[in-house]
Amino acid sequence: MSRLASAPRAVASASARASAIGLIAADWRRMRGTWILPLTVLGPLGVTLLGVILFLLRGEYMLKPFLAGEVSGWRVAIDQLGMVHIFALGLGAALIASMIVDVEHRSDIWKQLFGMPVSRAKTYVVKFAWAAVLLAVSSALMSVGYAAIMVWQDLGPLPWADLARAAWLPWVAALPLLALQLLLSTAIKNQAVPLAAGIVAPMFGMGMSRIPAWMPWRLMTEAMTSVAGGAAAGGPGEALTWYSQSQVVSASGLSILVLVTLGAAMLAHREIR
Amino acid sequence: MKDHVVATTALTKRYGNCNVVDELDLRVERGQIYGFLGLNGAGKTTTIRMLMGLIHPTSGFVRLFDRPVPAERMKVMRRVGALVESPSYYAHLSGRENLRIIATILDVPEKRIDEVLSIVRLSADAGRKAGDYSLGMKQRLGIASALLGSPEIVVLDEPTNGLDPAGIHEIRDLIRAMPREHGITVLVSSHLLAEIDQMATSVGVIHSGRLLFQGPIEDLRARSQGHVRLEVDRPEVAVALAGGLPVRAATDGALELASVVPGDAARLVSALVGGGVSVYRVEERQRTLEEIFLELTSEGAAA
Repeated sequence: MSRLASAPRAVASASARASAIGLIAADWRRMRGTWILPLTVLGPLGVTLLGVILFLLRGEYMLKPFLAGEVSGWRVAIDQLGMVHIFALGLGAALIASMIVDVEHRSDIWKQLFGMPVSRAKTYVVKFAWAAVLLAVSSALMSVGYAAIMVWQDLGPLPWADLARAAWLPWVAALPLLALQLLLSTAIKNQAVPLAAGIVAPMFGMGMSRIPAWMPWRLMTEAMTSVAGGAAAGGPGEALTWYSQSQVVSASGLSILVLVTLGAAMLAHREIR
Repeated sequence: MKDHVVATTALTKRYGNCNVVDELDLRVERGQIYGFLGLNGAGKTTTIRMLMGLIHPTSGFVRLFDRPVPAERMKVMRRVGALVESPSYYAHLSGRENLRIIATILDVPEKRIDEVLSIVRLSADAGRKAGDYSLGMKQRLGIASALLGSPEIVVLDEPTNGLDPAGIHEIRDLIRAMPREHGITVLVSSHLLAEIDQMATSVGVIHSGRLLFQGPIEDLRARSQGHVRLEVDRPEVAVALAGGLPVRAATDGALELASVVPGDAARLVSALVGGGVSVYRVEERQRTLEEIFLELTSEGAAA
């Protein structure tokens, strides 16, 4: 009888360190039962419902240019919901980033987790990856919402290419903000601070044309403009410096690389008290 | 050379101007129950956090299984199980689900979860949310987490803190069984001398970050032995009447008999009474941890 130490030592040494798969699976286990999963569905559902309300309230006015044959049905939908969409995406990024580390903060899990053969940097990257996946689900559901509104309002045949682009391009553009929020939420234990930043900053950042286009908040506006039909969609008098799709992708990729590396390094060198 | 599971060399942690841990040379041998004894704030938890690689030493080194930590942390931590300070748990998940998360990370089979649950007697409550557990159950869940990976050493930081007497007893039995039945080395910290006395085979006494004593529990036990205190009317006469007994006059005018053998006290009292000295009060005094600390500290200062 050796109940205390029954697992054979050979097995223990064969898997001396936690695999990435193990970390990914463990993160999934601990997300279940939190609000983070319902939230990924409720977010796009909320924006879609807002669209429904908009069409119910002033659908006649909104549909006029479409019925006159001046714009496509897709433009009607995206013009109404585009800004709400990316603002919700920014808010969602802040919420997901906060919730995915808050459990660890609140229950002091870090000391237990990093007392095991778990790479701190890998843990951080896995958390970012999970947050990105959840945001992708939200983003994809958002396109389902657009499609639903278009079918409901009889806005013509579904523009599959546009719908797909509306799902992935704003998502790609939102990832730097997600990385930034995860950095803040990991660094600061009290989640009120990163959440306040995550709510207030997009309000200013997304509308500002003074800040460089590669900044996380501006980048999302750039992506949405591209989705809605490029520079032509910009209001009259707007500067013609809109990012192309590939520019959005490369700016996002570079920002993610920098911010996630920074976050992983920070967690790796952190004193876990 | 002895087989040291834990060895630190001049381990130091400085916060601001204060050395919270000061030049610690800790040695834990395989199969020991090492009692890490110190008052609250003496530096026990800080030391344990450095052992686990959670915080970085200001200077000095940590070696676990003869490998440097935190440099080779990833290689050795699979052989270490720990409960650092308060137990960590996900309040929204059940006890079993909490263990399952660790099992997933450590790649341990489901069967092992049942085993550790039964070891800490949590099987019946495994399905309840950990957040609803009593303090004792949370503590036991923490110990179950530490045991899950079948470690070679278990580090338990104040495992009986906040437990009721029954819970303390249970954990003590559990700890005592670890090396005897399964060859697990235990490093257990406490601020209670009596507690360490009942389970440890070896002791390290830390005070203000400095290791005052390290060695077999018997050596410390000898130092902590009590004495008999007698209040008499003429202490200056009394000492002369003591004969061969180890008696000395205490500073407050009482007598101290450095022996707790019942016959010694009886002989002293009868000798005193026979010599015309009135004995007002006879009492046995256990030396508190503070007193031993004071003695160890003053020795340290004198040396």
